[in-house]
Amino acid sequence: MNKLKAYFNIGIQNGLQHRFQLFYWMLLNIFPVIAFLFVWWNVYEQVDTIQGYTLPMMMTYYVITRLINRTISTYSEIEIAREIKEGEINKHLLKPMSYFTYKFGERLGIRLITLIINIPLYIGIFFFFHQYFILTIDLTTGLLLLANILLSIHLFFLISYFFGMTAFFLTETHALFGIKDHLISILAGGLFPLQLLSPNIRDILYILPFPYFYSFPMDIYFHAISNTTIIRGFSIEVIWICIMTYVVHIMWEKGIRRYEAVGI
Amino acid sequence: MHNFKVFLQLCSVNLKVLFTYRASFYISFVLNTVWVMSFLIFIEVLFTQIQTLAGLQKGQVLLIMSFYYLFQNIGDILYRENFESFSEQLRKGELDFALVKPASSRTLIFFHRMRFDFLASFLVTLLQCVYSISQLNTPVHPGFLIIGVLYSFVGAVLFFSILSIIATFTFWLIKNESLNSLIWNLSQVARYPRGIYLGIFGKFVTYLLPLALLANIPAEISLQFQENTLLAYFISITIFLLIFSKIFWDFGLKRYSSAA
Repeated sequence: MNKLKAYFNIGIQNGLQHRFQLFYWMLLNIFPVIAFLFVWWNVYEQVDTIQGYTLPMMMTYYVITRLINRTISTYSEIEIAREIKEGEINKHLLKPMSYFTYKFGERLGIRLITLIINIPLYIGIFFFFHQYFILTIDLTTGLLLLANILLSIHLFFLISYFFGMTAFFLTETHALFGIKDHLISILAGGLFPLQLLSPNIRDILYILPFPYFYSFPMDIYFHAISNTTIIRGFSIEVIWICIMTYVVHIMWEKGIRRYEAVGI
Repeated sequence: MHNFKVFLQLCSVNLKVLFTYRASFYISFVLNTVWVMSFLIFIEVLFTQIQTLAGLQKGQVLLIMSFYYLFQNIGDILYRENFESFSEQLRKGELDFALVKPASSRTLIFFHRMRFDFLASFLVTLLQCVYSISQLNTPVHPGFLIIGVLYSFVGAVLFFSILSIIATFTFWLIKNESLNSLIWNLSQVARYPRGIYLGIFGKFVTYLLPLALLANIPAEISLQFQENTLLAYFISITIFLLIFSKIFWDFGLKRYSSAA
């Protein structure tokens, strides 16, 4: 735990090293959100509800999922793949610490700084455009969301770590990361609420880990699912964390055996 | 002319890289298929609920999306990877190889690594374009479609200029590892009909940072309902930003210090 805390602090320091980058990145990251909001604004000039979603619900959905994305997404795979390919992982192999723990703690720290920088922007959006959003939340819903976010941070990192370690086995990983990002975006409900899909497709998707990043927490937020479904959702997410932890462990063992480092 | 020869030489080198790693071609095809399909699903789901988006029918919206993918494909092949790695190169002081050569440093840095494996993405874009044309109520004249394609190249030049300006800020920021996601985020605005963007934001992305024009102008030309004044503005702003980005790049370069 002390090591995780130390890596977390390293991540915070890394995040604070170039502060202005975070600020202008925050401004530019808002463009896709605004584009989506304008699309739905235009759509709702023609209809009142879509599969039970009103305009305020849809606007709230996009902005909050974006905020969740800022919180849980680590995109560590690029950094991990680069360290493997360029041999920078050597220094971690020589130290008495788990590379996984190091990366997890470091990324958490960076995520915290990114979130702190982004929160004022979202508060501003909610404040100035509050009539377009649904911002009521009770304690139980808040705690459930917090639990889901904590689990999702872990699961998202495991998936990123998995993809990062493909660099042990593949020469070209860039395209694979792009495929992963797009798949998560659709399957998690990042492009549109999964409620817009047919029930059969939704049932299949909810077996996968991805809907628990965005669609599931928004279902909790809008009180759209029963307690049984919530418990089932958390259970599936925990099961996927266990599965990915095992897979990642196996990949690491096999990857390290294949890895060759050239020293000077 | 000299810079154009350098550019052609870089193309030649990178084509040889493509034939060395042929699997990248097939992987890029899969990547672009996933990418195109994801937003195609979004539009299809959208149009199960509505008839038009900003006054445009499904086929017209899909055609805008096709031109969006086209200028993105051009960028992916020619310069995208170089923008993604630029921050790291700058931080490590690795730009020397470009700065000591008798050619434009910007050409050498941002066209150094071309990804001709993304040629596969043109196939996907072509399929998307054929599908969007099949969804149109009125046929598209091939001549205007070709002109639209040519204007996609203009859009790629404009987007390159915008990215160049953003990348130049790295000389002051030093660490700009999010350039990849920035490129993606900015380009999202170009994907949809420009008519959806209203108010100050609409004016901003149409005139000040003309992202909304990148795919819309080529599509409007193909559909033969372009506004001539906006078309003239599109060409003018492309030329202006290309020149301005070069001047800004030279200004930013003065801050660079090598690690050698």
